[in-house]
Amino acid sequence: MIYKKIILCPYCDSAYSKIPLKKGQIRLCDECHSVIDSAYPDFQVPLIFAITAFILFWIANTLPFIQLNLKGEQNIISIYSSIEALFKQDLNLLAILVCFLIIIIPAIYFATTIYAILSFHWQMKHELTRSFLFTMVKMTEWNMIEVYLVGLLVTLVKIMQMAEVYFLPAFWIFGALIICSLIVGFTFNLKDALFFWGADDAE
Amino acid sequence: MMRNKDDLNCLVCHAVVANSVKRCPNCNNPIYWRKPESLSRTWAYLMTAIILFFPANLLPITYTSYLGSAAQPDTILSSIILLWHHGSYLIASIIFIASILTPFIKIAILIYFLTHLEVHKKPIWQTKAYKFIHFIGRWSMIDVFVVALLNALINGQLAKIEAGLGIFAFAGVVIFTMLATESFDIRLLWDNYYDKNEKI
Repeated sequence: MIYKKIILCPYCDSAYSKIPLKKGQIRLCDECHSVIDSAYPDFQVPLIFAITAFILFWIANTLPFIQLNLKGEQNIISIYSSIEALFKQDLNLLAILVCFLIIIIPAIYFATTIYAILSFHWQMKHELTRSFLFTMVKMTEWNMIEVYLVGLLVTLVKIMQMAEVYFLPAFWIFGALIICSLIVGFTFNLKDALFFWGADDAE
Repeated sequence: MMRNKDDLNCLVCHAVVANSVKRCPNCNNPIYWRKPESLSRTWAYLMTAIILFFPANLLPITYTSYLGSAAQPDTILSSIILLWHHGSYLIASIIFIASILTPFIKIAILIYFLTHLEVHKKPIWQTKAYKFIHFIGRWSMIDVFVVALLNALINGQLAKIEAGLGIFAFAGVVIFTMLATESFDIRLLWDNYYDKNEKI
């Protein structure tokens, strides 16, 4: 039973009655000033950006994106090969951790976002999809590709003193991927009427 | 504004449901009145993070060897000092904030919450601080990625950078402080405040 006319603040548990919001509006809790309600764009925005991100993801991961010249020695890496290099040096634990945070979790996240939106939109197996909807929101925090980008920039500044660094085209694809990933993270939300279809509700 | 008495709030999709429900009918998230075993789980994760905090900062995170010279060990702090001396002030500050200040602040704030559960004023700044440490938590991972990338990029005959044990402990600190923040329930402070003070 879902009470659709009540909002509870997730931080201080104050109760409010729901008011319809205009596009772009947010509503703050009177007690603790947290955002308790906002007018999100509908499901098409996260869908479009998740599909874009999913396509860019494979390009950014497989094509080399950084070239490094160190006194005549050349080193070209892609995201995937930078993790492979860790496995070769027997740093398995570090390699598995990085692999989870920047390849496995983002890939699952984009794929399931697309799948969930489409399966609810066409009402195909959506009761099965509903059983894992909550894991997708919980996954957002562990999708760390934007943190990886900052780490990459810090690394490059660190080694610019001893080596020449070139950005290859895939680097800019990686940048576009991060913008898409951030938009999916901000706009995908389970409050969309799409997901409430068929869930039993009460007044 | 009213104080919620017995409805349950799904913390994932923010659906409000009746008290008899075990899982959210909208997103299937297990749903509780307050996060289960919140205090003991937060303490457990936090203790693990505190124990790992010492090896993370004392053991070397990288070994750098240049032109066949002996490998030079660097801890988190010594690599920041090195960057500062090279004139990369911005990068040095970013790493200092992400790797030393942030984990320290997160641990300090969570210990403060856990030892000051009885509040006399409305816990407004506590709520803001909680949201803040929840938001910045993942950015501490920067240093783990830096070490992983240095390892992959600088790996030739001339120069070689290898990861040290410290980075594993540091990754542990970041993960366990994130889990500790996630399992702490800030609503407990508000419950304590309203139990003692005004009745709405």
